Amino acid sequence: MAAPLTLLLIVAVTIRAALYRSSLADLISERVEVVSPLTAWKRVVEGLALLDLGVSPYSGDVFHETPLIIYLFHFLVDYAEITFMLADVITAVALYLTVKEYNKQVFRKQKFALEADRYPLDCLELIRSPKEMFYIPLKVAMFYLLNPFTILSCVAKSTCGLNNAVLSLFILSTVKGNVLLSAIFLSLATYQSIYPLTLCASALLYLMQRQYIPVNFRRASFWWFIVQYAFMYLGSLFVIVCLSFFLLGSWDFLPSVYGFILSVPDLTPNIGLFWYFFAEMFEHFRLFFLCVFQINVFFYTIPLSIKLKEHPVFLIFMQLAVISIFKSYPTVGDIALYMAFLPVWSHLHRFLRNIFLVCCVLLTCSALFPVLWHLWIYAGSANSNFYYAITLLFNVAQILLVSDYFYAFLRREHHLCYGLYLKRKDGSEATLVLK
Amino acid sequence: MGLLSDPNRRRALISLLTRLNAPICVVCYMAGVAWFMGLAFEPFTLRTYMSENAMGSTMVEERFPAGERALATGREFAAHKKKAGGMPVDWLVKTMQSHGLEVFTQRFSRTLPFPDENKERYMVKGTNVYGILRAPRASRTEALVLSAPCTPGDNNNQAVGLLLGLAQYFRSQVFWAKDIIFLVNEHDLIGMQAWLEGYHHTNTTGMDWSPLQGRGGSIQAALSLELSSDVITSLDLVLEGLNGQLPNLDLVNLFYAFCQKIGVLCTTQGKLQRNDWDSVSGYSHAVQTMMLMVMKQASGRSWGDHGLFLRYHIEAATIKGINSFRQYKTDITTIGRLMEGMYRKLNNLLERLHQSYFFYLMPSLSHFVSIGYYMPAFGLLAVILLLRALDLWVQLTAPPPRTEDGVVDPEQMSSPGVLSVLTPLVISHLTGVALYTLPIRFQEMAVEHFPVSETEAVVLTAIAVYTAGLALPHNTNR
Repeated sequence: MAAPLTLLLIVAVTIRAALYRSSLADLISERVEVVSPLTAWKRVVEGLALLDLGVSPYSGDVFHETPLIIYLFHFLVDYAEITFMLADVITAVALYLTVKEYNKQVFRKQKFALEADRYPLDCLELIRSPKEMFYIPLKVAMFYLLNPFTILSCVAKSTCGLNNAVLSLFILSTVKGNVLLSAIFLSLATYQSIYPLTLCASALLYLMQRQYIPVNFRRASFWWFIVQYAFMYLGSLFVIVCLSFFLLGSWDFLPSVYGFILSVPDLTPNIGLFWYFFAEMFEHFRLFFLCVFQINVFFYTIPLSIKLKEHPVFLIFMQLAVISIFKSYPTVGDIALYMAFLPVWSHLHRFLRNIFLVCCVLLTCSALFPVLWHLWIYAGSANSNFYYAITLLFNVAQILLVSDYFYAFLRREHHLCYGLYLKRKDGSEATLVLK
Repeated sequence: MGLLSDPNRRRALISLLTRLNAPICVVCYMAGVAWFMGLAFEPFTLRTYMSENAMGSTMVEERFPAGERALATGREFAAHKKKAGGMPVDWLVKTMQSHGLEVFTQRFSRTLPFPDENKERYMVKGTNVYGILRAPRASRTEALVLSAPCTPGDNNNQAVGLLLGLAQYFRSQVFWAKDIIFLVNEHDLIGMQAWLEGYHHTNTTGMDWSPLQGRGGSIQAALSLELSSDVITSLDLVLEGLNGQLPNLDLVNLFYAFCQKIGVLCTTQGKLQRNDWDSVSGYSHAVQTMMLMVMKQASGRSWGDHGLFLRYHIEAATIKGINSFRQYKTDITTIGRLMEGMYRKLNNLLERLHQSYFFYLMPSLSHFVSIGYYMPAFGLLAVILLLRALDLWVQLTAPPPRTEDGVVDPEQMSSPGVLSVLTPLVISHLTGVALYTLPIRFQEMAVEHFPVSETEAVVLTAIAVYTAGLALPHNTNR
């Protein structure tokens, strides 16, 4: 499979290089759907200029990247395009290897369950065969690299590409079972933007499963593993934060990066839900609603972890989707990462109910975003309500997509336990409803 | 999300959809067309009303006296225009300066994509002349524009004459809060675009123009005047701009209010409003007016010099004087008073016109249909596409019929994969891209190598792409 993957990488890099040389690059790097105040390349250049002048790059409320990024680009600013293309390539290869490893484990678990005769007889058509799973890693890499959202994000030189690379490396090291690397990459991802903190739970569940530690509150091995992982995670986070302090010599970056993400002072329109709400809000209630919106991102960890504790990789997918939808400054690059996982669940398509509606709404909203932006900002005929309506519709469609996959996944698990053709107690046919 | 998650209700709805698909589509189509036609029926429309508060209260007494002098100036302009063979720049500059305006000129030139039929030239050169009347007691932050085109031949002389007469009259008044720019543009839309690009420091068309030496602040509204006769019988308002963009409805309301006050007949689309809306001929007259507006918007081109202002978020309209066979004639003094009144009202604006509608249709000047009323007609037509798509989707994913012993025929299980759908999609898009970019690219190359003219090269390339597209169904079917 190395040859098709290499071909795919070459095609992807060619497309990006061609777009970098065209006149579209400037246009795309200004679109608010693709760049946010956290990830814009213009701001990185501004921060680098301030650093060269000897002033703290965080003075002036323009630059909101972490110090490690600024030092990375201090050396790589001339090769910025290559850096972002390399980040995309790393993400794709990491996702490819992840899905290959995951498929192996899925198939092995399925073989054990078949030998132990745990599946009812009529759900044999739900069993997956290696033949159908053979092309899935390539499809995942293709979904990531050739997704127009990813291409736009790369051409705009949005640092979201780097965030995605770190997250995919975290997922790869988790799936391979390497506890230390998983903790280190997760701490890097959390250091960049706070929200990957929620992926801790899924990483813990997966690693415990892999090391055959039972997930039981009363067992000492469970708590001991948690303590180990937390030590590694918090330790590397501490080291990285202190390293940032020593790089720039001040703690300025803490309010500029984390304070910015959490307190949402910049209300530039984007594809998220925060900007319009907080533009309309009275100051008196701002803190309350800020807490509500931020807790909303973290809150789904607990119920999802309890429900999906047997399936931690699906939990990672759900968490990534929840983070991309509900974070304070989302961009289309975040969406591209969780959409890359969709081929892994392609065997669920017979249980998906709303996929046509969701696809149509997502395509229509993606087409309408620039139209309504033009109508609002340039023509003056519309106003922010129109743009926020499309934002809301886009997010509702994403939530519907994620909940549809959740339903399909749970339904397949249910059928694998109880058989495909369900009968009620009196023998009539029953239907499954997700309440 | 009850509808999307409850399987029983879903199944009932989907079976209804597939059974009654064709009848529902036909009903939607007829309803859409009937709705649209019904929009011109007067009880379904709303009377126009002034939405902007700043323009509501002040109706002043207009006192413009110098109609005859304006006509004389117009005749002088015509003579100088004939002598100069184009725009009489020096005479205009001198006249405007003598009226007390700050006068500036702008040269522009544009290479036409196709040669001019009359003279076989590629390049159009011209000069715009504009004078700025500075507001006596205000800072130079806002401006209004009055423009008249300089067309060759005997057209629009009276318009330029009236413009200069108004400039002289306005100069003597002290209550102007905004700068007024009096613009005479050459070569209609090309000159106007050069002026607007120079004013706003943009260059979207690649034209060559000299930078403007004098500016007046951000333009709040603009009116373009076209008058080719000494007396008129009616005034026609032209609204449609580039790509069908319309000015704010408040500008139309302003014009209509002043025509009522002064007693001038006003028309839109060249059609006079009728009172007998309940008769068949009256209704068809309203329908014709509305459909003319729709077709003019659909053509995409600007129907007056004002159309280019709309892209810069400046509300503008063109007022044309029409001289037809009616008994009651209006003279230039009255038109001058109307323009004076309109500019006095626009002078009172605190912010740009934004209160009223931007998207509307007018069956007559006193009635309008807003987008909230005409969009459902279009929505009904679009719903048909959605219903057909849903029907096809349901048929594709319906479970195959079982045979009697419960074994499903495996041949019917395969639904078409994504790849087979992707091929015609990609080919169609590539054809569209080819049609968009190839004719222009091939134009120069074709003229070099083949004995065709530019227009023929473009048309032949388009025909070639269309002919290649005839093979599309063969390529996409297996």
